[in-house]
Amino acid sequence: MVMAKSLTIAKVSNHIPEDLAFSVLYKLPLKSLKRFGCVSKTWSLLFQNPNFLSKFRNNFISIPHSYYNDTSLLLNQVMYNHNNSQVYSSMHSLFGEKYENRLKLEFPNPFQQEDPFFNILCCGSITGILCLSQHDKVILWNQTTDEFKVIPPSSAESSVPPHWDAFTFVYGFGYDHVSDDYKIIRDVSFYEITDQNRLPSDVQWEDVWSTSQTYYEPLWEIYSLRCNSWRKIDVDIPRDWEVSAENGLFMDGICHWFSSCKNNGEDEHFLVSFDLTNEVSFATLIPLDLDIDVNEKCNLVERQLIMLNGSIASISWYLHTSIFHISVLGELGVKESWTKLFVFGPLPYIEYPIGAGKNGHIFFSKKDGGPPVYFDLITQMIEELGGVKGAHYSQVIIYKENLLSIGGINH
Amino acid sequence: MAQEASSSTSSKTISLKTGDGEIFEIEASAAKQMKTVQRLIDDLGDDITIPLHNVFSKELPKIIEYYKKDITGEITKDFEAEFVKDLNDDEVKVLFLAANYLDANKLFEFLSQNIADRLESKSVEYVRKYFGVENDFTPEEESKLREERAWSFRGIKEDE
Repeated sequence: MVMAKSLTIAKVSNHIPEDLAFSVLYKLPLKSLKRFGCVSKTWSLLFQNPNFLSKFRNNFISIPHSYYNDTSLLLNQVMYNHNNSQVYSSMHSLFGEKYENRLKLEFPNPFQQEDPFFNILCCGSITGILCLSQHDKVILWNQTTDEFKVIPPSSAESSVPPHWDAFTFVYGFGYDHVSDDYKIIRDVSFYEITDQNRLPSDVQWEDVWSTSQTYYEPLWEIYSLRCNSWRKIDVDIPRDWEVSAENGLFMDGICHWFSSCKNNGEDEHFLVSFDLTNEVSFATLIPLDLDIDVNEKCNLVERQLIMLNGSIASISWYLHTSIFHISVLGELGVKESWTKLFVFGPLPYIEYPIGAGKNGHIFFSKKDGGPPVYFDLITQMIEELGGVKGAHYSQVIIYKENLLSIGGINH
Repeated sequence: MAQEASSSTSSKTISLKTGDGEIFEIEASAAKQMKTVQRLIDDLGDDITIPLHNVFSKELPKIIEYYKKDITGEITKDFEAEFVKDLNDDEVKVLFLAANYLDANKLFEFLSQNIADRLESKSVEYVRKYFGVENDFTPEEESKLREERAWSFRGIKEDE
């Protein structure tokens, strides 16, 4: 028996056949795989191996990330009522493997409107609180407990003369676990009211001309739910950076959104990340050649931020084609870590992405204004959302229930 | 744990003989999960001791233990964690290769994920040795690649 045991040890082969090694490798996270590319030449080319890439990306989206535990999908649609050109929102929670079950949800109505409509800021819905916006009004809403809080204006908004107006833009919303607080980050910019009809009634047009100030600096502000107030902060984001996609993401205490700027005449695109705890921002460049199609002469790329199975990802497409590229960010702050995982299409009836569910489901609006659909990255098929109407604007967000009271007061 | 081959009247258990000459019993339904074994049974009949030249007495009992649990539907995350808890990386590798030889898919998938989990934070050198892969880069090529992928080395302790 002792001899048999030593035979066992001698039999342990040191060289594992490549395909066996690959069966292990495709289950590794992106960062490890990139590092192990230095093992050998074949391994450095793993992501160019279609067979390997296919196994890797299917595995990447098949095993649900803990981010999606106890979450549901919300579909918010803003519709036009053609009779009276009123805009209204219709929101549903979607369940079921093919989202065949729907539960209609009612928005709060703090402003006593006949048909309240809201955009949901996609950032931060994972906290269980939704940040809703309607023009310049912002509300925090806990859909589970049905509490809401109307966010007050900041002193900055009224710090300018009456013939100036403040324009606010919310970039992100999320939860800071260190201070146990919900925060909103926005910027405020000021512009002079040049339309005489829009001046407040007590302002004379002549007074406008007498003002010496012709410019007010834009500023960044952060709102704390605990303090129920805004405070000015310094954010290290250049003034000329424009938000290039409408909605951001919130994950692990950081708000993310896409921005762009001009650098020597060329457009540069960045992922901007704002840490809610230490209130610091940083940017990750999105390389221009990430989604370049060598056959495309026109390089106008549309890009959106989505979450792909718990990872930050960019989905991009050329304006006139319906071929989509999805690249995943391997590590925040590292421009070399963007890794192209999916290319699919053409999907000629598809307009643009409206959000991502779990399980590699990417939701899209349709060019004909019909009901949104979703693309299943695993089956590579478009699926209809049965019984859902078309809308002027739709958005899909991941939502987590939260039984904690907002601590706020209803209006 | 050598046993005599079971009598040919029982078709419920199959006798397996390891490469080092030991014999183990396995239920026929468990044997079905190992496609290599099932193929041998189809060729040789189920009343013969099935020879498994590339599996040894150290690994086979562990594999049998796994499939015993599988046929009763008792494989849980806790069981799987316990199953590999006391195994070192090389022992898991031997089991993994055996599962491959036996074409035991469920065990193979589980073990490959476990190996991936163990290798996640390891160094390039460790992984090379583990899989027995030869480094075919020149020193210049390797250092250039390491520089390009420097971000993936952050926080990883390199050997030597």
